[in-house]
Amino acid sequence: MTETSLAPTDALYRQLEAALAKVGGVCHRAADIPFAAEAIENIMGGSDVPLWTAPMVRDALPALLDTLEGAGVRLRYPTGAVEVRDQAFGLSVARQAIAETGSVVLVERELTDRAVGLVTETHIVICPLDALAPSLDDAGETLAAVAQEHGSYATLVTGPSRTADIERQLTVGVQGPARLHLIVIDTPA
Amino acid sequence: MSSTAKRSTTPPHATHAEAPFEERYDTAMANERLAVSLTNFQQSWRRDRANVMAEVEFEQLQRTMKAAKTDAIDNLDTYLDQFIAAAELSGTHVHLAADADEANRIIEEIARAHSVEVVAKSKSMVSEETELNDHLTGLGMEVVETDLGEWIVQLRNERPSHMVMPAIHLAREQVGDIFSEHLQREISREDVAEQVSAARDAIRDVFFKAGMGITGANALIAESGTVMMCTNEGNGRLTSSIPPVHVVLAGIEKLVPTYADAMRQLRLLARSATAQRITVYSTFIQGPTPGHEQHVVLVDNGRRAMREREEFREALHCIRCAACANVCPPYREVGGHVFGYIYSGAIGLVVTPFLHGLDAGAGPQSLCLSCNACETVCPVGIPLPRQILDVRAMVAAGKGIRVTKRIALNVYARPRAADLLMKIGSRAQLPLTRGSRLIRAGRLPGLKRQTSWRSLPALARRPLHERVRERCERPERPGPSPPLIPSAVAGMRVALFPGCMTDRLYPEQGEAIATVLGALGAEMVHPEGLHCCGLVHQNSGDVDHARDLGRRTIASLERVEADWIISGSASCVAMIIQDYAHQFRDDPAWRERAERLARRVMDFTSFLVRIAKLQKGTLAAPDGASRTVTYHDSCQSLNALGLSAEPRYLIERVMGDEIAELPENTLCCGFGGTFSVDYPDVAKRLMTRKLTNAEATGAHVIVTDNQGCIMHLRGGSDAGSRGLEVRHLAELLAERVEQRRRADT
Repeated sequence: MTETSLAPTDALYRQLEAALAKVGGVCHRAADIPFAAEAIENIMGGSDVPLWTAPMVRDALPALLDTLEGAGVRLRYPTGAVEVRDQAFGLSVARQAIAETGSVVLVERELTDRAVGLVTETHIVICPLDALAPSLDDAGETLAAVAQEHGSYATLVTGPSRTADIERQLTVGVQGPARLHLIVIDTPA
Repeated sequence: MSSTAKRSTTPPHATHAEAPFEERYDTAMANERLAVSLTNFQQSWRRDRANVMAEVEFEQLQRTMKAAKTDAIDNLDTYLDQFIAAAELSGTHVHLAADADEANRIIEEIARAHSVEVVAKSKSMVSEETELNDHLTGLGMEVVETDLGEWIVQLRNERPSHMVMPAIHLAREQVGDIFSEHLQREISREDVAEQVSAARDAIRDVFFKAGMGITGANALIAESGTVMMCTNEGNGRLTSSIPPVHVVLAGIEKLVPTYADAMRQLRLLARSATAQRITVYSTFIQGPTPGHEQHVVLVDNGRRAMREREEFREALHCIRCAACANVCPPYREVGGHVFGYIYSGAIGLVVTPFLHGLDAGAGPQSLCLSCNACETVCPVGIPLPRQILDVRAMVAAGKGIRVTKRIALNVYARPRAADLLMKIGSRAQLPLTRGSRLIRAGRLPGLKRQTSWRSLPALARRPLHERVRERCERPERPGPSPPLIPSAVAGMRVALFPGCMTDRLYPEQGEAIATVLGALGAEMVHPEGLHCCGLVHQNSGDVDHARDLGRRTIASLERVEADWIISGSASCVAMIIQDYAHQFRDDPAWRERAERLARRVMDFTSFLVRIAKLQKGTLAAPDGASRTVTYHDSCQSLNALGLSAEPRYLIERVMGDEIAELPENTLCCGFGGTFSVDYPDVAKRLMTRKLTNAEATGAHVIVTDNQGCIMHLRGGSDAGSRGLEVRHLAELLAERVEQRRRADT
């Protein structure tokens, strides 16, 4: 990464963080894998419940999972949605994060990958810094590229689940996770 | 399975035998909390929507989105074929359904093939349209809505009253009651968080035991065969992921060509729907989850018929955000079960005749008071007010116009008969007016509902057009040179189009305009042969008379030798410069004449600012005094002509007075022409709100530029002994001219 590209990336991160905060999500920035693992441990607050991990994270961030396991975090990989139901923590990896809206782009065709962000209580999403993009137009390009595979399930997730169906009063935490943490890693490998 | 366990998810079997419109109306009007709930909702939405829309270039986004939808609908079959081919390539089964029954039968067959007993449903307006739940529950299936609002109305055996906020007509106490009854344990009537939590837990099981999940679609992306679905609660993702069979039910009009278009829709949709930047989950589904099965059922059900009608085609651009309901004054008073059929809000009034027949649409469309507020917030720029009037014309043609109204319209369509009647009336009214300018509330016999709350203006002894004619025929008086007020129209010839209400009820307002024009050094011209512009007939669905009167007005005004034709009635001006072109859409010669005429017709307010270019302080009080008034934006001025800064410039800058702004200044006063005769209870409520808001400003004078609002608000103030003065802007300006004239001599 050159000197000149640092500043715009920082600005993008700050925009992302602010946009996500606005909808009740929390953004963390980690310099590298060990810092990211530490952030996850902090989110889990020393709990010894399992961290339900999307199988695709094994391919994307093997070093992170090694570090977590080394720190004593119990990783489990779902084989379907039912075993993840109402579990405390889920871990996913994003294809992209969008600063304009504070969204993460999750591309998860397999239900086993998707499940950890469907029905858990706290959803932790990892995104490499270089996958930050300014706008929804960038997300559109990413999604169009993904669709070239002729079979995909992608979601722009923007904050924890919410409803305002009763008297337009906002309540956070409905069927989707009630908490969303995004960890942006500067140097993911 | 115990009966209580079953109760935890199974709502009572529901068949939506819809009560007649009149009954629904009466029920809604008797429900006092309904309007309170909806008022709170509309007010907070307006504020939040304005904030979140300020982040984007609304007009530009609206333009590009509209272009994408125009492309999609104009080339419907091309994009449909593209979508189907791509979806099938991804392993999805695509079905085309000609109507609601066929859509339901297709889904029934899929369910039977998989021996489905429990169906999880995510929000889908199309499933409401086809009454899919009734169909499936009738076959013995358990169908559960998993969106909170939808679940609430399902438990209450109701329909959603709003396309985005299905239970917005309910107060939390009612939600607590139905939850307690259904779950058979005490749920708070106050604590919304507890209610949400109880519902979440009750619905949670359904995703895991359902053999089929049914969702809707917010868009169908043609280039890739992808279904876009937006939800906040996460139930849409669960419904489309966990059950082994996923069915998408969508209207064919949901097509957009590309992902780029889908992103534009995302930017507009949540902002317009819930005043969010984006919904929490924007999901893009292309093909089934591996190991699962997926079906997409695309429904016509009247959409192609709409597409063939040029004047309604744009309604297919709708992205179902419901913004049109969120600013609609009658919707606020009666709710979506009355202001709509299954689809509610302005768009509901337009699509209902095509999707559910003229009978279903006849009552709801009559509740539109043509305030045009919906069009100002529609993210795809659908000409909703115009389309509702076209629906009204269909209803009038198909079902007739109420006999008393029809007789009145017939008489009023004849200039000489109307003139004679007005003349007689201006004399016959004496016992009622007792010489005053008002017929006090309650004095008109036999029309208690219409008149007990609103005094009416007396008919003028001499209509404006006679007074102006005299004024113009007076021997030439040399005007002051230079003119009293500097302007860019000195020496111009300006004709005054009086408008019926000014002519017969408020001639002094027309004379005020003449006084101002005189002070600007303009030469006044009197058009002959004018009658009504046809607005009343158009707004009543009486298209033939509206066109007759339009042709007459065009022909009369064409003969006027003047640089400009102006009017103190924003409604008449909007009719002439905007609606005529549509009235004569199938008549190129008259259409061309209407468009040519429109170029030299303007409302008085715009004329003073844009053409006369009145400068700051040129009509300041001679003694330097400044008074405080409040300004009522008439709907035609604000929403149809787009005026907002102009009247404020005249009052604050040119005259140097102050405006104490009206709270809810974008809300209609409830007049709506014949609306206030047809629906006096709604008109009265809106009027009361406007007058109460006006009183809250502390100003004693309401200024506006529309005779309808003046009649309505003056009458209400008088009947309620509120002591508010309601004045036309021209009257204020003319008074100032006179003050200046006296001070100069």
